Amino acid sequence: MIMRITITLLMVALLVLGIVSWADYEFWLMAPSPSHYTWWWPEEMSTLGQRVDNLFWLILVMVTVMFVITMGALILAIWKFSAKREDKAVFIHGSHKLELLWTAIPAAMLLVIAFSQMSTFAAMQFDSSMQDEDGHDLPVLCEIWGSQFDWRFRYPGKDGRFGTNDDFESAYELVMPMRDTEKDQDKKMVVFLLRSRDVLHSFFVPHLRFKRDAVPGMTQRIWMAVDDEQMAEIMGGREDKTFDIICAELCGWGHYKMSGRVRVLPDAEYEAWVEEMTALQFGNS
Amino acid sequence: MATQRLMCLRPLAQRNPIVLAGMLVGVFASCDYGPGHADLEFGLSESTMASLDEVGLASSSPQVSGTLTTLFGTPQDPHFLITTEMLDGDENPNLSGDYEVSEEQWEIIVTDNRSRRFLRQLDLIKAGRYGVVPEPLYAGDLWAIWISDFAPLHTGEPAEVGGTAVKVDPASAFDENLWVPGLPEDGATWAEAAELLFTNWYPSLRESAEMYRVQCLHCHGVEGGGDGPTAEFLEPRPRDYRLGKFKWIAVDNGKRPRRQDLVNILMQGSYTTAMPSFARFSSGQLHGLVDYVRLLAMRGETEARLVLEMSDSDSGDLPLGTIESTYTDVWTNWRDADENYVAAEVIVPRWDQMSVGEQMTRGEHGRELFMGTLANCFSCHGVDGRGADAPTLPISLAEVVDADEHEIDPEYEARGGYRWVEYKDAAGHIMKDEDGHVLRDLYRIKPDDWGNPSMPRNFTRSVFRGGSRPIDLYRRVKYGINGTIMPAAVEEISDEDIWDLVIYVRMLANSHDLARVYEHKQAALADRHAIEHGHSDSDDSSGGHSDDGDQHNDNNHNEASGH
Amino acid sequence: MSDTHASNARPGMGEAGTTRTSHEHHELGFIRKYIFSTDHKVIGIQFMLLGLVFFVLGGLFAMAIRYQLAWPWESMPVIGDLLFPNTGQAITPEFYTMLFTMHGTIMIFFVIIPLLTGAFGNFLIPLMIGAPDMAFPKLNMFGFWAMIPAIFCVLMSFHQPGGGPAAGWTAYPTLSTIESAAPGSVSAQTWWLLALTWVGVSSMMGAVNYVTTIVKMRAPGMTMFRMPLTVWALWIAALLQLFALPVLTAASLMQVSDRVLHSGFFTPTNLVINQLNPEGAGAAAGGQPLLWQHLFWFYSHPAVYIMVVPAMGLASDILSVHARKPIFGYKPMVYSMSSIAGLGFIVWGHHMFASGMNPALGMTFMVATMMIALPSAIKVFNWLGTLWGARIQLTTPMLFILGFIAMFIIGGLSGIWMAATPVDIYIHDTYIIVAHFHYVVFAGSVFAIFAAIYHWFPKMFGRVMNETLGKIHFVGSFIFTNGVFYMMHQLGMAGLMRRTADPYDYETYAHLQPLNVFITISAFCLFVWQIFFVWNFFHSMFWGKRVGRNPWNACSLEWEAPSPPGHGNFDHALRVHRGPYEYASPDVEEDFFAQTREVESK
Repeated sequence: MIMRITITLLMVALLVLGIVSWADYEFWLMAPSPSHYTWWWPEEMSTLGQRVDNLFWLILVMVTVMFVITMGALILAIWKFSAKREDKAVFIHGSHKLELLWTAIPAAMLLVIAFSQMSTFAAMQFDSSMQDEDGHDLPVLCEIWGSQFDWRFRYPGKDGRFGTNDDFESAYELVMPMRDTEKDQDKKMVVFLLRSRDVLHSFFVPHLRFKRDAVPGMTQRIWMAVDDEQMAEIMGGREDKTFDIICAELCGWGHYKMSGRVRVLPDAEYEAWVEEMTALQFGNS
Repeated sequence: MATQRLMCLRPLAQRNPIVLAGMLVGVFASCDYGPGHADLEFGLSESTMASLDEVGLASSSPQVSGTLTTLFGTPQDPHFLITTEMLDGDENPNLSGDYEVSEEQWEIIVTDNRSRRFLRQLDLIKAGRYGVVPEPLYAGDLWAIWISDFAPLHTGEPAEVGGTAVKVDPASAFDENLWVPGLPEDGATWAEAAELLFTNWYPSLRESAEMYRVQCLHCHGVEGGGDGPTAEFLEPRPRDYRLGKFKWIAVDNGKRPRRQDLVNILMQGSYTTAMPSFARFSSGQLHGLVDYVRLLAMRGETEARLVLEMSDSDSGDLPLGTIESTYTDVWTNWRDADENYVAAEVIVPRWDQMSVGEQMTRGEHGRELFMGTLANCFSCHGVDGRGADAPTLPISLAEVVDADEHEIDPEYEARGGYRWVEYKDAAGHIMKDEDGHVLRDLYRIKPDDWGNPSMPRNFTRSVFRGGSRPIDLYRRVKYGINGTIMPAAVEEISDEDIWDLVIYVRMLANSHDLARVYEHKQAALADRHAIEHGHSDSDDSSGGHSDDGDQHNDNNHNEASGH
Repeated sequence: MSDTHASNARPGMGEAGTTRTSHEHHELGFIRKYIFSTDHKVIGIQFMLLGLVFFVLGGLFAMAIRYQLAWPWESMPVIGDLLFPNTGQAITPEFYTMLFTMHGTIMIFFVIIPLLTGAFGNFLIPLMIGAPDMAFPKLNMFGFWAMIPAIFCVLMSFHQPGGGPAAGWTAYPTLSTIESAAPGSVSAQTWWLLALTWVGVSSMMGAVNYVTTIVKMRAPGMTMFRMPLTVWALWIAALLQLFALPVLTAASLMQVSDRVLHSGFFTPTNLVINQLNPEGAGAAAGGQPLLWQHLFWFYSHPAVYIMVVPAMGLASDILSVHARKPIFGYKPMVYSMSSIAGLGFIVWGHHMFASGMNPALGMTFMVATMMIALPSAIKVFNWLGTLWGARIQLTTPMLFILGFIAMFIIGGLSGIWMAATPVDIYIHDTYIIVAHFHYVVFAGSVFAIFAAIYHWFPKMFGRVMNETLGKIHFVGSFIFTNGVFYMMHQLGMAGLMRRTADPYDYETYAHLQPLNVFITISAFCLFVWQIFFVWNFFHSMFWGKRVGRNPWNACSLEWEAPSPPGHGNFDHALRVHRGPYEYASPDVEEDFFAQTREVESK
């Protein structure tokens, strides 16, 4: 009897934990983090991030329903059928109908999830999503170089071309203009080239839900966009309007030291920043 | 101790029964164990011990280490000894950061504290949630003040404010407008004072030493000897501060670096070495680290000079006067580093506004200098600018040693310190003697001041550790690189010449791409049957627009934009 | 044991058609019998002890990792005193990279796989199908002894200059192939790869044996669809190993060749790593780091199923016995395990959604990965169906299996986020992944292993384990397992990366320390709690209560043999008449209807 109560309680506790933590995420927002960061993900600032989050919530709802059903059934079964009794258990080897039912329903759910994410993934990684109307590639804002244990950002300078004398580098801080896919059709995403000098790194920006490995020997086009309204809503009240870049792939002993920041500026301010960096590049300080 | 640690969970547990239950079990299990860290100790350097041994004074080493402890403290409690001379000059090296930091820098520090470093604490203070202000990392002294002077104000406990015990009425304690005496900016309200405490924070040496322990020690070692446990796996080796020499500086060759030079390295890192950018820490913390690095460097220098004095003296003793003069001398060198700042007046040519033709003319002149005997660059960097990576050994980089006599240092060898060079005849064939043995010489690469084999930069990789801006390259050429075989430019070379050299070096850095980029681009353009934009013939340009093509697997392209 | 040996004459065994009489005429000495044994039971127990010893080692690594994450750079007990006098007894970052690399390696290759396929595969397969031994006993012995060089290599890898391997258990190039890239890549990585190759040899010997034994040596009447699900699961796992292992072996030899012969399969052109240019140092280039990831995951994803499918089999068997009810949907169970195995070969790319491989491939792998969730779901529903209407006996094995099912649900459901590519981009390599695979491999496989040890202990040693201690062991393990791994979901949601030695300097992570402290304390408790198991295991081995052949009243064949079974297993002829799960059958009075029992006319 003691064991019957214990195991049931343990299972109920797990069910409650599961429901509370996933179904009511605000539970975790109460966690002891007075800063902008919680035990939930950082608020997203990009339109793409919004789509990722929506997908997450869709899956969360489905998964929570499944979790409650299965755990509920498990708890019920444990409690109900672990009582001492003299008669034999039900002698049954299976049910074709039930099998069909619980194959078809999860299959349908999984297919819904599978198909509902394809367009988002395409927007994140397929080349076609960062070409202009004529099918030409959008200009590259800067090269992102990973190396042990630094992120370096090489900008083409004012002439917009790499390998010329007005190129400048920014250590640690990636500065990018604010672009919004929805509102600013002709500009679309901000495109970068992602590269590595030595080993695998991974360029991870939690706020933009962006992550991609920097692979030595490969040059990848990546693109991100930041929504101005979203940004203003989240970062507006803060003094420091930058957010973290993190290396997400083991790159050696100093992996944890490999950090950076993203600073997103409105177009005009971005131009001014380029001016400033150019002046610094040819400065004598 | 453990209970104290667990207190950080308290705010969560108050709202969350599951965590509370888990915590209770945790407390039960962890009993009274709590983490901390063992004390560190400063040791004497190997070279000190060797030179003391040499003159038979090995037994006097405690005298040296004792002196150093008096002068510089221990890793747990680092400090500078204040001499009478300093008192007279109204100087306090223990507060060097506080008054050496320029106003401009101080403003950055305050902004950083406000907007990044203590963001969480300040937000809570502004929101009036004083009770849950979290302890910041590496700011123990600040936290001590907060706990002793501020926190009690909210609990009604008597507090030591401004040196006198003040009994605060709990009712008024929650009044944000409470005036707090003795805190910065007399007359500030309580909340303002609390904010000021955080925004005006500058780390003490002790806090910086703790941060050094966590962030730097495993490479740079306890004494800053570049001999931490990680160091042996790194190439180039971490800097040994004890010589007082730093490479990437903007002062005259051989002089001590400015505070700003070291801060710059912390901010930027030394690219492609294991020294990363530490810009994720606030400006104040980085300045604090520089304070501690300077202390370690001064300690190392003092150590070396004291040993020298000791071996020179007949008695083997260290008279007090010698110690004081050595110490003051070392300290003065560092204090006055700013005075040696160079190149503030230089005007950097704007190549981005130069015509291609002009760039080519100047580059050509730079090349002549590079190959000439006056600047003599090629003798170490090689005729193709590939430095240590060049297939043929640059002529001045190494010296012949007798292969039979010379005792090869295996570590130096493993780090690329030796090279065999075969004799070749006019046709380029390797020459052999009558017995068929290859005729060759063993060369030993010249070491730098730290004993590392010299590895002159390969310009074609277009990576410059000390910065790739024109002015950075100018400084390297004009003043040389501290501690290495890279000398300062001779006087006959004018500033104009140096700039031409710099232009040439930049061209070498980019020329690696030139041909390939051009090919790549032509192919891409041909594919498209349309030339979108013209580009200047000799200027290298792998433009963003045409930097197209296969996203994956593009090795050729990767090479093109150069390492 | 003497009585079982006395009964080794087995007069009726000839009928089975599988008898091999050469073993039985001489008593073997201690060394031949217990050390260099060809007896599948002894080999199984050898694998089990080996796995448990390494489990402690891997667990200690885990504790060190947890300590560092809760209190970074503070004096680490024991390790700090012994190894790091110069840093104030705080570990170094390269040591931390070694810790998690070796934690993963040891837990996967020296604990879970040897325990599941090595220990239970060996012990149970012949007994459950009614065979006297494996098809190739000497090969089987070699399978175990191939682990010895593996252990030697893995221990050697700790003693290399630069310390143990530090490129992660996935050993991604170029970190792992270029010597200067990481301290652990100096020479330790080569030993690590050799260790993996030897583990592969061992697994291969086992797999060949299992497949052959199951196909050729079943007792009369034991059709494929009368086999217990454990045997099915082990058979499927063995097939997975047969097809996937060659790829890993080839890949690790390629990496060895890159490291030793500088062949450059995985080394791209024009790198400079820690001032070393691999081409300048004589290495060929033009390689592709992604190639390793494809090859590695082509093995290692099926390996995940090698680690889970046998656990599912064990769970099904134990569940049915202690629920006193036939397993629900036997054939759907078999089909779902088979489809897991089949689909398991075409989902490896879901480890690489963020790796920069062609996104069209990502899309394909995503759909396949979604589909592989289905058979797992079917299995869970069938387990629930089994429990429904059962007469549940809350014995220790049953408790562990119930825990297994509950936590497998969590591990399975959280996997759906990982399959959804856009979401996976965010959670890739965060602590959600760590939580997910620990729910599957620790809360799943290890709980099933515990259950199986409690369940088959009487068959192994002729004595039962203490039930009270077992239940205490279960309750604590269940609570602390969730305390450790459930909270990791939250770390992952906050974006915390795996493999970071000290995340708290990041603004995004600074507030996560209290949560990590909580997890660490839970982990310590979990580790300490296993003392109940260790004590119970060794105490019961010598002083436990003696039991007869069939303490659980189970139907399957292994309970026909004496406990412990002698050389040759069965002392009487076997003929199988029905499936292995005929509990509560109305045809007989007892609530179990053994597989060999003659049909009684009513």
